[in-house]
Amino acid sequence: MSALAPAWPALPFAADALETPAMADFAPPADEDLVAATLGGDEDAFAELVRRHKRRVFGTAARFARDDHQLDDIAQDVFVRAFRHLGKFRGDAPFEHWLARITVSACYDFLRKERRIREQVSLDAHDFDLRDVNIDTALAAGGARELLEFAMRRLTAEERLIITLAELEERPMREIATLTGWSESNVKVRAFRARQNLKKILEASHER
Amino acid sequence: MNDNSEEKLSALFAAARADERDTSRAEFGFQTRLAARLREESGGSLAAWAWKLCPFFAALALAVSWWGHVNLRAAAATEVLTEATQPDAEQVLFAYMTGEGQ
Repeated sequence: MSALAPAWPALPFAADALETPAMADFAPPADEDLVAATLGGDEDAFAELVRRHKRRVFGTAARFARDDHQLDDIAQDVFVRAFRHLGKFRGDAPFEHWLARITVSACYDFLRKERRIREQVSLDAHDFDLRDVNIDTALAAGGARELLEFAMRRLTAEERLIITLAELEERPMREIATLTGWSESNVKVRAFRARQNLKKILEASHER
Repeated sequence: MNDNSEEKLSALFAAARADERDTSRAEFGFQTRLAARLREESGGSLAAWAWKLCPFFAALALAVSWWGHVNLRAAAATEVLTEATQPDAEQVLFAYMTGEGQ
């Protein structure tokens, strides 16, 4: 795959050229067209889909990954899954939504895998540095993300996923239900419980 | 944590949201790495299929050799049977060649 080569001619640079009737000829293809082209064997079309959507995928994956290596792994997993299952994309919903579901699924699998690993390994040095920090201190010192990450690593994969989607990405419950495949009422219950557990963890870490 | 824990937690979420991680470094060269992985996986899947088909081909080879062996034995048996069912063939040929019995 020649990864960075666009599948259509570049837009003209001259500003007046953009106003000509020929502009429509240079309109970038829709995601659905790129999907069809990829299925037809055009690898550049898939490269363009990746280029368009990778920022959003990285944005979501960054909420779960601890470092750039993990982030890269999750993002690659998302696009490999998308490439493999591209034939299942029906175009009923925008490609972006379809890809968001794959992203959430990949992040959930990553969390479950990481939790299994963490169950076998003791707390690392980073955790011990953070566990005596309370919310006020973290907010004052600009360490909110680190403290939250420390606490969220003690949640289950389901709880962490739902807290991230609901509280950090501020997605509506209905959308979370669509993304996760859980019912909306189930999402609400899980979100409430996850929040309670998170509060307990933060409280316990401060009292220790 | 005191009674206003809900507010504090909300403030923590808000602060974490504002402190969004910069992913530009991880994104650099991503498409090249992804393309390499996709190529590797498509090549790997061919190799995996080849390994999966190994038992099938082994079984096929065994079946063909067994069939060949059985077929050979059957052919030999047929030959013997043919000879056995025509006990006077050699005598007929001998008589024909020598002109005896005409």
